[in-house]
Amino acid sequence: MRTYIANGWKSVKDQFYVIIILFLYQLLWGYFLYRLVESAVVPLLMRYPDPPPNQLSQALYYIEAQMGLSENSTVHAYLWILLGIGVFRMLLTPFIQAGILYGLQQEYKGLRGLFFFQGMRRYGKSIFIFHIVEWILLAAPAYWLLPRLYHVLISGLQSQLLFLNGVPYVVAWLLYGYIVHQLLLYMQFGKISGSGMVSSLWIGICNSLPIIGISICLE
Amino acid sequence: MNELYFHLYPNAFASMETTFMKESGGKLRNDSMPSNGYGSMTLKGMKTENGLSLMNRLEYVQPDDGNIKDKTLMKVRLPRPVKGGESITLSMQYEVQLPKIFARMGTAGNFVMAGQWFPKISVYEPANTRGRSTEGWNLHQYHGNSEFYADFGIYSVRIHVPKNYTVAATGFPVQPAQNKNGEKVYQFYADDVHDFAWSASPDFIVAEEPFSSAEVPGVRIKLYLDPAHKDLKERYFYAAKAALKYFSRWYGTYPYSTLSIVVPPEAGNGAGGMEYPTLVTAFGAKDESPGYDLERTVIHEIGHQYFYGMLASNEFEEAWLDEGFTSYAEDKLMEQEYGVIPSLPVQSTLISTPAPLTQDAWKYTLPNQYALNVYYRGKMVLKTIEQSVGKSTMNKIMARYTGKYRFGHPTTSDFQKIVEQATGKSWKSYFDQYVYGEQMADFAVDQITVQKKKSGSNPLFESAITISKNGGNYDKIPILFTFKDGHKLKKIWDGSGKSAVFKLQYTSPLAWAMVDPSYNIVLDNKHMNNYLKADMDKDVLFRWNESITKLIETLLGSLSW
Ligand SMILES: [Zn+2]
Repeated sequence: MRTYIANGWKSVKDQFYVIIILFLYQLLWGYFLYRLVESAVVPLLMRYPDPPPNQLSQALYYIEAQMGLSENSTVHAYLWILLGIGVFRMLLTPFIQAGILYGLQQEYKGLRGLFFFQGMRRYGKSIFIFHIVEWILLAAPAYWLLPRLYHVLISGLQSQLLFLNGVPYVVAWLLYGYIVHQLLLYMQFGKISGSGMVSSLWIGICNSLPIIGISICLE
Repeated sequence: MNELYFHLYPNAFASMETTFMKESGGKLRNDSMPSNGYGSMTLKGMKTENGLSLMNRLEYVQPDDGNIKDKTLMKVRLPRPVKGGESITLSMQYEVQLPKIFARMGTAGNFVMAGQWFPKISVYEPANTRGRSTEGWNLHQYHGNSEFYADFGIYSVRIHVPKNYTVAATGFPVQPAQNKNGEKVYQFYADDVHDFAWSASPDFIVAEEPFSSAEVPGVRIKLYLDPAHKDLKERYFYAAKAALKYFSRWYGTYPYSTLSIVVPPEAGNGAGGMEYPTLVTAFGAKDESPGYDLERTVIHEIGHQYFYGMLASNEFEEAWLDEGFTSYAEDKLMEQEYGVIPSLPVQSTLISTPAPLTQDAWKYTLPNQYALNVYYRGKMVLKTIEQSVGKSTMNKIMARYTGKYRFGHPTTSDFQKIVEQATGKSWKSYFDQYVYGEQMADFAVDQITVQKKKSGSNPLFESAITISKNGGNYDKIPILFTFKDGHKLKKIWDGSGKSAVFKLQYTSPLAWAMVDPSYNIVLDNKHMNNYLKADMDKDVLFRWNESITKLIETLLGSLSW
């Protein structure tokens, strides 16, 4: 196990330019999101009556904030922007992933070069299909879970302790999502390395416990 | 006159294609149409006094929307015109299939609420009625959002029911109920009323109490209770007596000899909270110890004996004259008798889609738009007049309005004139904005800038505060300024112009400013912008921004790079 990790670090070094690209990519998103949040949140905080000048002030603030979610066009604009960012990044993700996986794969074969962009071109589309499958699998439980979570949300608005009832559902969903993600990742490895998706999946399942351990340690 | 028009209201429930069902989606307030709850009215015969049948002279008309599937309004061409001063007598046979209750009328188990159960003649308005220039019929179909409009008349009604049933009805029984051929026969009489409703059930628990006061010569209050509320008699009677007493004092003597209160069973809740002349319904009896909603409903519906009953406004076209005025009266009495004060700021906040109050009822199409405008905005318009002219002048205005238009058909401009006479000034601008128009008030603190003028041991700061008017006009807008050292300062803005800048010099910078700090401007429906801080701690702001950004980034990052 130790040698594998050491090899991992070596490939990281070789593909340093990819890390820089991804770092800049995330930095830019982070900056953009921060500015977006700031432009939305600061005006709201400046209007939050604390300490409340009138005993109704805070209640009215919350009622109007809640109504704003469904009725206010500025709020809607922000939600659309966030949704747009989410969709854009999700569409970009398969290509980034294809670049990384392909780079790792070529590296493993002992080759050197700018594999990141090559991988994007060569495997972007097929990884994209993996992602569509992944999104569908991730979203599927919503059909059963959303009605339950909605109930929890509504009851939680009256008594905040009731929000806890939603925790098991959310945890189960996250766990399920994590497993789906990991298994599909193995299949993507298999696809790119040409060793076959089913066998990679099998390797993934066999190795799942140590891998989960490593992932948690690295987090 | 060459033709007559009749409302066949039960036909609203004839199919999913009627105007009522299409507009309401088979739902009124919180009650939905039970499956197969259809109802209808079938005319079997219509004759003149000399026996001439008019059946081939009938035609359904749809003046509001041209929906030919809607048969709630019927035109009858007369064999010869009826001239001014002449009269015509028609006899009709008809069958009514009552719908299952979800919208005011119908049946629920063995409970019957017979409202709008007969072909009701439309109102023929002479010139100058409600401001119209030429005489003519006032014609509307039955809509998802609309109640009724009818003319005053005399009703003599015989009702046959199975022996075990008890009947409550408009007016008074001319003799005790008779048992004939295994049936029970009731005979009721009512005059000076514009509708006749009755209700029947074998389960009613009946209680009766006489009531009189300095303002009310004598009324028999009759209670027809669903058994679930048999122990709540006293609450119903108390509320009814308070309503009769004070509404008579404020809005003129209750002129009828009876007042019946029907408490429907839970399944008949759709028939609850409804007003008919001398007969009202409370909401359905489900809870054994309901809150003040019980009293509120009874008081509201008795209030309608004035604003609807005696002041028979056109509920199709100016529903606020019934609901807004009644809600205003209801709030006033609930506060006086039970100390229950509504939270007007919260209620106004809910009014997110204000619309003109003189708009046809079915044109309020957005969710809750009808109720929020006609009930809430309507009463707030009155409350604002009250705040402006003072309670005693307002009482005079209401007394004059209810006195002058008793047994009439007042319109909004009639009320406006009364307000103008009582206050000796024009109210055109106010009515144009808030009644005929769709304005709400909305005053906001837009911007605060603080400048240090002098530093050192005697510092001086100039704080500039911009207040803006985003809605309708209002006379005196109070503003509260609070400085960092806790010092408070109150100012009044006269509300002229779109905005105003207040420049304050003080030894401490401004902490925050608030328009209308006590929420007295009841028509202001946006309160968040009443308040603004001059600034906030940078670290606090950064922490908020950072945590929210992180949260979003975590969510996005879990699904994407
Ligand atoms: Zn009402």
